[in-house]
Amino acid sequence: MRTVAAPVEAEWVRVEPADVRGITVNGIPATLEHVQKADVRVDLADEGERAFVVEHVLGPLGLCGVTGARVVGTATAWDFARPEHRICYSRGDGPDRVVGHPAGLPNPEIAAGIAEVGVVTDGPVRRRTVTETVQVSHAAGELTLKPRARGQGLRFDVQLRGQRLGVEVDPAGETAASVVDAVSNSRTPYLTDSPHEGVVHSIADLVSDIAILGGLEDLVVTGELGEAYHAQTIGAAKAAHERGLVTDAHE
Amino acid sequence: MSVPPPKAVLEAAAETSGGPTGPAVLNVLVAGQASLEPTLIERADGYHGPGAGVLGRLHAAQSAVDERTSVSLHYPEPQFAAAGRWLVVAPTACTLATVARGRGALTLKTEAVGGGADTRLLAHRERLEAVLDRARPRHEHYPVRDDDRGVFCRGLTTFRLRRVQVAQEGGTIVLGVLTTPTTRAREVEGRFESIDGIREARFRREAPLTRAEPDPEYRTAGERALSTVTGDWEYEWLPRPSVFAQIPSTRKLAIGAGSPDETAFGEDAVRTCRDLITALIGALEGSG
Repeated sequence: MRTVAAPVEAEWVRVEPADVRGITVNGIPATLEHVQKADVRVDLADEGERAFVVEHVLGPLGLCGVTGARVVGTATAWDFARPEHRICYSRGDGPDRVVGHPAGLPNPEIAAGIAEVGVVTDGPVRRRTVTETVQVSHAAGELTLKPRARGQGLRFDVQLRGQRLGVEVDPAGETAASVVDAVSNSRTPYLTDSPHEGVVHSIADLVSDIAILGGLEDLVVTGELGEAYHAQTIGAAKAAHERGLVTDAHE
Repeated sequence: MSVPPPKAVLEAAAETSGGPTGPAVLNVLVAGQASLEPTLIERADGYHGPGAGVLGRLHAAQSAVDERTSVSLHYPEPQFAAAGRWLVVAPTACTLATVARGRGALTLKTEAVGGGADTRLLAHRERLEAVLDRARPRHEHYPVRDDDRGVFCRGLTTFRLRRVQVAQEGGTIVLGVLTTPTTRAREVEGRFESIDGIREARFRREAPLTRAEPDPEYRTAGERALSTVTGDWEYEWLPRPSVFAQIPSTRKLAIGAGSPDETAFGEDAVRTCRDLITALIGALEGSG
């Protein structure tokens, strides 16, 4: 288990150390079972509570190799241009239920904060992959998960809006700083006209959905991402589990 | 599934509107009014013409309510004094609503302009263009100016030109304003006061923003119904004041299929709307 060495304060979220493996967002476990919505954003839900736009925190945590943490929303001001804030106001909830970054970024202050406080490792680091290729078809395109040897990390070779990108990410925290910086400072495809910025951002979403929520650390991911692509990424991770193809990665 | 003729739907509503009363009753109010016009017709695939959505939602509500003794259907005239919870069946595009934006008017007085008629006309036109430019939505991060579907703008204070009057001694520009919980009169006025040629800006609230407070059991029933029918629940604000705001009780929700200004309401939409209402009534009965 790898957690932050000290609390990290970022724009409208706080990341606190955890004693056990697993990330929670406003108390809701970041697991596939708790995914309530996966299309243009990912929401988690548990017993009537909901955390909105969690990929903006899970992505940077995964890029920095964090596998255990408590994420708490800290927003106190409303921005009603955000549909999620309107949902919270409608339910009588506060804006702290929304943990997504206001500018649509994989929160860059999380990565910066973790670089400052450091990460501590406790016990063996889990590495999981798939036993065979998982191919998931979607209206927007196909996504393929292929097995990879233990410790090799995640390789993404994806295309979005005609822009292709190949990136290596190590869920144990050895991802190149330049990659973390570029991904953390790229806006969501829904807020940028730049196909390049959009596909760079998608790497954080892939890490969030496949590595953190899907619990897969050694894998090759290829395919074409469409609009509302969290349906594809969460769908692929779910398919791997539902088909019984998830296993510990071996060297 | 085929839909009955408009006349049959409206006649049935006239006969059954009202119904049981009491604190435990769910009052189902169908928003809007459909009238028997030659242009409002039923086809094999649903209703077409002005009022198609209202008629489709009314038929959906009638099918869902049927002869239940725990539900009272209100159409076209709601009995606002009725006790119990309220469900407004409205074009919410399969979202729940507890909030309706408010409405106001911003009156801008412009300075008199000297010179000939052409000069005055040109000056007034330039001021109007400046006002309309200042009225366009703005946001630090989101592409609100291209937001045709209101994804972002639904939550902003928005303006629409209501009236322009030009006279020898100056002019008046009136903007209709849709408000949010963060709309402040001074901010609305201040946004336009600095425009060259504007001598006065006055904002007046016409209808307050409405925020209902359905009890947790009712809210949960709404979320459960939406999840049953669509797979998830979401909330969205009603775009402007409506009959939802007129209901004096705060124990109210709005739900429904379709979008405002639609001129067709297919049988799929009728079925979805009926299923939403049925599921909500069922969830309430199950929780009771």
